Amino acid sequence: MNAVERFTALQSGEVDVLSRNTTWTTTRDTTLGLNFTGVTFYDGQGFLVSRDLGISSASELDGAAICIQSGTTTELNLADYFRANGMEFDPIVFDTSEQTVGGFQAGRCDVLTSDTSQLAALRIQLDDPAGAMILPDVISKEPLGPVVRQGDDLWFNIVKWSLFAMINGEEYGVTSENAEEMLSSENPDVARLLGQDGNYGEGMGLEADWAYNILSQVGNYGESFERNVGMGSPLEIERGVNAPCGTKAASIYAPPIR
Amino acid sequence: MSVRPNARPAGQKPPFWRDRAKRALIFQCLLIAAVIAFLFYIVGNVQDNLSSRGITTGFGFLSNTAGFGIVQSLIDYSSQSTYGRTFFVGLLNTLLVGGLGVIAATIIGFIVGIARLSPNWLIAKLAAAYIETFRNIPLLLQIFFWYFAVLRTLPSARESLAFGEAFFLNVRGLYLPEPLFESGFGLIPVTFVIAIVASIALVIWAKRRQEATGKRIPAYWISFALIFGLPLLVMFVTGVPVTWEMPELRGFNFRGGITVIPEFLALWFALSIYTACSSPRSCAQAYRPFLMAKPKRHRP
Repeated sequence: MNAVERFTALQSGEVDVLSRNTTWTTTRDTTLGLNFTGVTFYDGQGFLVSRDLGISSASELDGAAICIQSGTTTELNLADYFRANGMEFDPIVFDTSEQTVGGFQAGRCDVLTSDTSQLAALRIQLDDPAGAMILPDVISKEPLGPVVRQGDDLWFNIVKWSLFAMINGEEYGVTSENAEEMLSSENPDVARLLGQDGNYGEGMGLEADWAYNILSQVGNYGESFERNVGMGSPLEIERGVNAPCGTKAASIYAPPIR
Repeated sequence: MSVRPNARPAGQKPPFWRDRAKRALIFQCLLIAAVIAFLFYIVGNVQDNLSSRGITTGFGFLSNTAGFGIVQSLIDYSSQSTYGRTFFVGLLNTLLVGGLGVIAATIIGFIVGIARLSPNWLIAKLAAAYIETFRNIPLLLQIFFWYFAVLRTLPSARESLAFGEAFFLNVRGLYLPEPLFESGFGLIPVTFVIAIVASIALVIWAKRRQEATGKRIPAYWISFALIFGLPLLVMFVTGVPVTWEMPELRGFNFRGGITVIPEFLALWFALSIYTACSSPRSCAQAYRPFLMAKPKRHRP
């Protein structure tokens, strides 16, 4: 599915959750008949360049040809950034991220731009990943999160609280490995989360152990992060701003289960 | 109606449902009403469903700021332009590639059409092979071929193929010198038009004179000299008011001059080569019956 098709697929019911690199924006939340359920990843737009160019900052990109994927917020941020800095660029637009990488590899453009998490994923697909680098500049805020269709509030709640359960799980130290032992935890927050105290799944039509099932089978937010995009994955993205509640950066924060 | 015997006495009108013309009219009206009602129903249905799903529709967005850049545009365009303008940018780009495609396809089609009827076996067969090959390959595949297999393999900007320091070809496209017209250039097209008008007048006058007196003058040679000589003369008198802006490698890319992007080239090549031979009415095919219909001695 390319970036343009993703919303139609969700609107038409082809998919029920859109959980990928979709940025939460006003237009998307209010005019497409969709609901954003929360933020799973705080991202920002960056630039991937070939090391041969000898560039160390985005301010040196005046006149560059830039490969972008069409129908993304990236395309809009890029135009804003270059205009605000009085620089020019040639947009070379592709449909899918594979084609965008292809264009970059063939030398059709000097720079590939996307969210930095995406760039990390694309960089390892290059024939020579070491020959390319991600510039330190981040030019936009891109809160990414799961999206559902409007009109099914029960489903909206389930998706939203599944995410919150995973984030709370990390905060209270519940992992897929220790979930079993945690069932007997004295901590009242953990007891509520794992359904030992009260039934918080009832309002969503779920069993009391709904969060236990998620945490024991999928793991908490931190585990999921490490497995899919973090140090345990080929992408090797650091937690950075996506640090859990209780640490200094602490962007990943969920409402309490109560 | 006219062949039917008029069984009814004149003066007594038949009821309207017995009149064929009126009946036809009523059925037409009913059909139109049904179609309109159906359209109303489906439009209303779509609107209901869209609003119940919270999806905003309409053309109001056309006056909103588009916010993205477009690499090639014939009219002024920036990321601050509206969506409506992007539509016209796209429309004009389509017309440009279409227009250039018509010209190139006509030339290729003409040459191949003639070549196919050549008495030279090799030329005729090559032309036939061209037509039979390209007309049976889908256009999209040909565009992909030109873009990915041909233009993608060109060298990078720093290792461009250079043709005499003025033309450069690389993976980013074709770079050409751009003529910059200075003040005073306007005289040249004006003298060109004057020369054409004068030549036509001269040819007509020479013909009349020949008919009247039998004397001939080389009117065509004089016209030729007028049409090409006069503008050239004006150009040198005004001090050649054209400068050429050469493409130059600056920073990342070539700057200055005219850039023809590879996406455009691929589309243009594919369109020209495909349409020159594809449809039965197109050029390479169309000359065949035309030439075959002529007496044998006129055949090429």
